[in-house]
Amino acid sequence: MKHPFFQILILALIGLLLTGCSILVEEPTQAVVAESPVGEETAVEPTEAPAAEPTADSEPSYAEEIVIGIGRDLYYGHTQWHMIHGSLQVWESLLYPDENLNPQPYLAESWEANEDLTAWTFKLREGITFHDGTSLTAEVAVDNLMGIHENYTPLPTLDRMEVVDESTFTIYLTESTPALPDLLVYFQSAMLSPSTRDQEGVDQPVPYGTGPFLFVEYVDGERIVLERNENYWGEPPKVKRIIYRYIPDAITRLQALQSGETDAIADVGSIIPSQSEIIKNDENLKLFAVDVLTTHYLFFNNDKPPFDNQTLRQAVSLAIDRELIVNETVYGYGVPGTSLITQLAEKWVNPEASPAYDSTEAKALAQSVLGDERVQVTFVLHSGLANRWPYGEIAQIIQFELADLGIDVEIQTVEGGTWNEMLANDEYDISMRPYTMSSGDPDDFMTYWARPEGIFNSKYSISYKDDQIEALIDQAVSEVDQATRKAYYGEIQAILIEQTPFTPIYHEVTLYTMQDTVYDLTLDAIFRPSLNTVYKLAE
Amino acid sequence: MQQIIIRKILLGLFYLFVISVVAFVMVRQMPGDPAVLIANQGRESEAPPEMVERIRREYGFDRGLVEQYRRWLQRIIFEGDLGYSTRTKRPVLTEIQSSLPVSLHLGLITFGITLLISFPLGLLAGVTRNKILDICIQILAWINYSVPVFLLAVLLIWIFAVDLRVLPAIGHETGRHYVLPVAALSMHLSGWTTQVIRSSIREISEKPYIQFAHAKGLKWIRVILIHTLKPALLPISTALLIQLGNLVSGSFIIETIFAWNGIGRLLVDSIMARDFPTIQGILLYTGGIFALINILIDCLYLFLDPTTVEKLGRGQTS
Repeated sequence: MKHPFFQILILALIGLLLTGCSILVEEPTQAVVAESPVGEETAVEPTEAPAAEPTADSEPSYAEEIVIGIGRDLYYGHTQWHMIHGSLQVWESLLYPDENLNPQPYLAESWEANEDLTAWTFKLREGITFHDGTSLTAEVAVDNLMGIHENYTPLPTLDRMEVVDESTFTIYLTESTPALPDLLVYFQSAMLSPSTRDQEGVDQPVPYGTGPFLFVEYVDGERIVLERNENYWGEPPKVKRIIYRYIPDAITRLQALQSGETDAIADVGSIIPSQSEIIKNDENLKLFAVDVLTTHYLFFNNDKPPFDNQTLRQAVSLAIDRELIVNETVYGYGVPGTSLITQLAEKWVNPEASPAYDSTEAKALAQSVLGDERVQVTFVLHSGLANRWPYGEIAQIIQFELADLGIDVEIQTVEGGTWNEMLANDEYDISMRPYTMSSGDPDDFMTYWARPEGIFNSKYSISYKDDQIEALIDQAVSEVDQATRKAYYGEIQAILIEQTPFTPIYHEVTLYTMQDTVYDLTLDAIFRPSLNTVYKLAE
Repeated sequence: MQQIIIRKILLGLFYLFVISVVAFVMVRQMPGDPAVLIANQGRESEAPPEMVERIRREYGFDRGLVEQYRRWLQRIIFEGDLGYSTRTKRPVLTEIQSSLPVSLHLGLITFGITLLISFPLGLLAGVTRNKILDICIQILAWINYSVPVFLLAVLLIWIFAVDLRVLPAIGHETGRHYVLPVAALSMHLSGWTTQVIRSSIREISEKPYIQFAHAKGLKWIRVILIHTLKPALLPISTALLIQLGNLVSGSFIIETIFAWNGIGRLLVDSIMARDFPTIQGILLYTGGIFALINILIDCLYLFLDPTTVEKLGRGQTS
């Protein structure tokens, strides 16, 4: 139908559409997005510390607020004892590890043990108050530690805790525990005020900690707002307000940074390695990398064929080219798994206990077990983990490598609940997951993986049990002499590498990035950001 | 007419009851023991068996399915209580209330913009005798619908937020925040909607009585608006209202990409966490939306086609 009126009608409707769109375009009543200034050319160097502070004759002005984009929600509310992740530094712990993973005083000023290391007495710093004004006392500390023991991770050798005086308490253990300070770092000794627990029925309970930042607001699934604690006992933070913006999609997370709506992305797994090139090519952004305590493990179902056979497990481990995996799947941002435990635990790593790569030997071992037959195995992946790390690609590389051994791998990616169910019910042959040895002490690792009642060992039906290992672990955990203890753990690592109930694939290197106007933001080995030092230059 | 409407409403309530049963039974078919999942939430170590059993009793998972359903329905009807989210420990009603406005706004605005785009194009394609014009509109619609909405969203963010920096990529605080998500969704949906409108209009346009109306010398605008559009509105409205129902039920992809805490994301997060009470609550809400839409469609039929009343009276249509 050709008629000028009809064409005019269409034009009118298009005009109406444009008018409708302009109604939607309102100016915000207050600034909600930090504009990113045009930056100078900055060389982005991974693995280097952030650039030094800019020097100027006149005092630079600092922005009041910094927005950090992350890929997970760090507020837990009633669902977890700590209520909020430690990265946000609303709460602090009695002890925290240094760069060598040695526990250092934090809210606890000092500690000492009796001769046989069965009683440890801790002295708290004086004058520390929670955000609600109450004091950190020994009684409060003991309540927190018992709460964590019962609701989060138990202290294996705990007998009882007793308050000595206002700022001193003692932990009594059933046996000698030389590594107790290591077992009490960070999450294991988080301090929250008693009134935090008096919020039954409150939808979004407030965690009252002692940290440099106060919890101000949580918008469900969107953001957490923190404000500077003006009464902080330590060095006060430079920035007044920090907003943690939860952006579930990795592409959008980076785009929000590039558009200037966020100032940094700083959390484990929040930047996909493939995004590193984009960041490096953006003149307004700086990229950094840090070795963290997380290792990605491949583990077997040791309870059923074919991986109830140690020789076949060894063959699989030998067939995996870990360096290839790091180069191809994480773009070099990783350390091939050449030590059973994180390479950062230098004082405990046994350099002789290292999984090797030898495809010829792998084939020979597989041949000795399978002959000319082929076996079918199921490699089950957790979809949530596969979204944060390239487990899908890693599984495909392993699938390719194991085909040469006569092992046909079927990869199944399932959502979390199903994954837990399948592993608990023995419905898998291989799987993968990360593990963070956050205490830096190898007994932490043993508690999860190597003890028969170990958390992962039992939960995931890994079903690993060895009497010699058990005896060594029991000896090591109570050994007072450090050199002897190290020897025990060295031997344990060697046996575990030999027996291969699980094997490390790679050690994590976490990427983080920020606008070129943001300074002094670093992540440590447990990916806690330096919120107390970070600042941003104002426009 | 009144009796028919009352009958429709009662039927709608029956649909809602069936949906509640289906939702209740379906969520319990998911793998994973919910008591174990709830007990292990927020823990590094495995929860002790006595804690799992306590939670099983607390949430009623130890009772039979019928008993669980009866108790749940009773609480909803007599107390308006949808229970507590096992994932966040907050009332399910609070969870839904905090997510719903976001999805509703997005859905309604997208629906309006989609209509503004697709109605003129569909109408034009349906009535024109210019084959090239008709084909061009169809190709445009097909392209719009074929491009995945997440790809559209990412492209729009890259162009307007990252490159041009004229619109924000995330959040929903102001009207500007709505432009990109609405554009991505409406561009995608207008493809399908244009085709639906075009097909309905074209079908009516080719009927002999329309040709007769032109031959009689009736003004073309009258032929289009009265004789073509009005009868075509019935199937068009049905399709559009169903699309509206889909939109206000939440768009998980758009909500995830633009970091909106809408009901689509809430549903997926709840499924991942086996949060039965929240899943059931959301499915009830979604079911209620579609039951309402069904009633609206039937009422629209009564209004647009008065003969429906007579047919219903003779039991010839539902």
